[in-house]
Amino acid sequence: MSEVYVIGIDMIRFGRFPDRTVPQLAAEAALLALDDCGLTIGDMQALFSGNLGEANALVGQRTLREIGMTGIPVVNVANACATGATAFRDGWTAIKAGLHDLVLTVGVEQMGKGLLGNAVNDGFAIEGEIGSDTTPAMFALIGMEHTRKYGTSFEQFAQVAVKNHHHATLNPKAMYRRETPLEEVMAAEMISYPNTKLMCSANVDGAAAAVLASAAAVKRLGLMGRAVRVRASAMTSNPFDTRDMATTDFNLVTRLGASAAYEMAGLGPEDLDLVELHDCFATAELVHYENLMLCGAGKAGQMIDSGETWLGGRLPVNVSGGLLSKGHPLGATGIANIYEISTHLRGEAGARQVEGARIGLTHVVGGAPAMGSSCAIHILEKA
Amino acid sequence: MSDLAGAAPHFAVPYLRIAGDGKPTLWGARCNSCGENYLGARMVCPRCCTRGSMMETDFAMHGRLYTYSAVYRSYPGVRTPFIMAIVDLEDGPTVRGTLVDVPADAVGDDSVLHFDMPVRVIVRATDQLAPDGHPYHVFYFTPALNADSHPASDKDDHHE
Repeated sequence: MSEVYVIGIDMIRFGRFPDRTVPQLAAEAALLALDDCGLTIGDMQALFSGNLGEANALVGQRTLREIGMTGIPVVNVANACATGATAFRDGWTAIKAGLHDLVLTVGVEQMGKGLLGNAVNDGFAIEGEIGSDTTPAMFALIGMEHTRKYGTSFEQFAQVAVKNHHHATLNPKAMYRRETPLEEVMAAEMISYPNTKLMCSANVDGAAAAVLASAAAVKRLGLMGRAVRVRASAMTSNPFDTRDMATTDFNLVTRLGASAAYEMAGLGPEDLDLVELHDCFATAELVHYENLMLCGAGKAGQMIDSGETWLGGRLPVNVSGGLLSKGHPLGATGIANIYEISTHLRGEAGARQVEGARIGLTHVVGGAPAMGSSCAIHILEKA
Repeated sequence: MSDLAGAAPHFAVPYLRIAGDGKPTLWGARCNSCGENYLGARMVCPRCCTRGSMMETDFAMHGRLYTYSAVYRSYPGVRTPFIMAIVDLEDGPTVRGTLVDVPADAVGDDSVLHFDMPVRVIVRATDQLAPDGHPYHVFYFTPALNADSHPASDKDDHHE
């Protein structure tokens, strides 16, 4: 089976674009990615389009209507917050299978403000009566569980937001680019303890796209110079966990995905130069330090305290600003993370460049209460 | 639970019912093969995948608080703050619900609200009406004031 490479990748600056349509946002990112490798839509053999909000409304086809209706196979992908990475992985799979050698993958989302969802069950509104379906509450539980096991403090969780907001000041494509000192983070409006408003990812509009190629296509096109090799692509759904129906699992699904990715790549967390993980809420980032085996069990608090995961530290995490500050347009995030890693591997990350970056890992995980979760992990290497 | 005198109440969720003793109970299924417990009816055990092993059962209406969060911001029209609780029922499944009779700002005061705190499951009328005009009833958790010496849940021994 062929190696798979990212040869063109980009994202639009995340923000709020109520006057644009979802396909227009997708098209803009697609054209950026195509321009990044000097190819056109006519060169693409398939389109994998990730979007949640309009998942049953043929976003992929409507995107081609914007940039070229070439009649290629289109798959519209929806997989919770792993949507964008699933679209990317579907493109990877098609090339691995030898079916195509040049494909376009796109992730896009246009979001309203405020909380996601509003569960009503047979006429009964669950919220508040049977706990909460809000995502900040879902991820507050995961943080409190970590507190239960290891005594992790509100302050330690808040440091994640301080770090990621700082990183975003160096990222021109981030939605929010403002320093937020610790006191400000902890004093912000409490949403669901311990997540304050500044510890919640931003609902924004955005799109990202990647062009994937087989080894033969990369060589034929002479694009190996800026190509990024996909060392691993792993995906998991939530395996059985005794508490999974009550409190959605994001830990085990991530751990299993990470193990599979490291095994496929033939390397370990010690080989990583940088990580873009799913910090949908500040509490999530800490538990994922352990889930991704970046540190040992129970050591996440120490890891954030040590400064290791800041730019300039031993293992920078979310130097893009993460979902917290760059923003989290649900369908786009899975490809935006890959864009960030790729940019560092190409040495093109400017002020936030992780020096000498050769190998990076991206992680997304999403799910819903009493439904399930999905995790996708990619390991990328400078070609 | 005195507001349940009279006709069977309209329960807001399918995994609440009136038990043989006339009291409301959480119910579900237990797997004969691996012993796992689930709220509500189940066809096949999601843990061991065994078919034909699910036994319908009523669950104990008490347990221990595994984790929780105080929710301050929610959807329009929802009264906040409230405490979301994840409770390991004694010999039963883990259940999500709302912890009442504890102020939200008790988070941080271990004497009032702490991990492994024993809780009882109670059923109360809500202010939401079913289509027939009667109030929906739902379950809540409340601190078990006279805590029996129930041992801590052995679920902590499962993989974490």
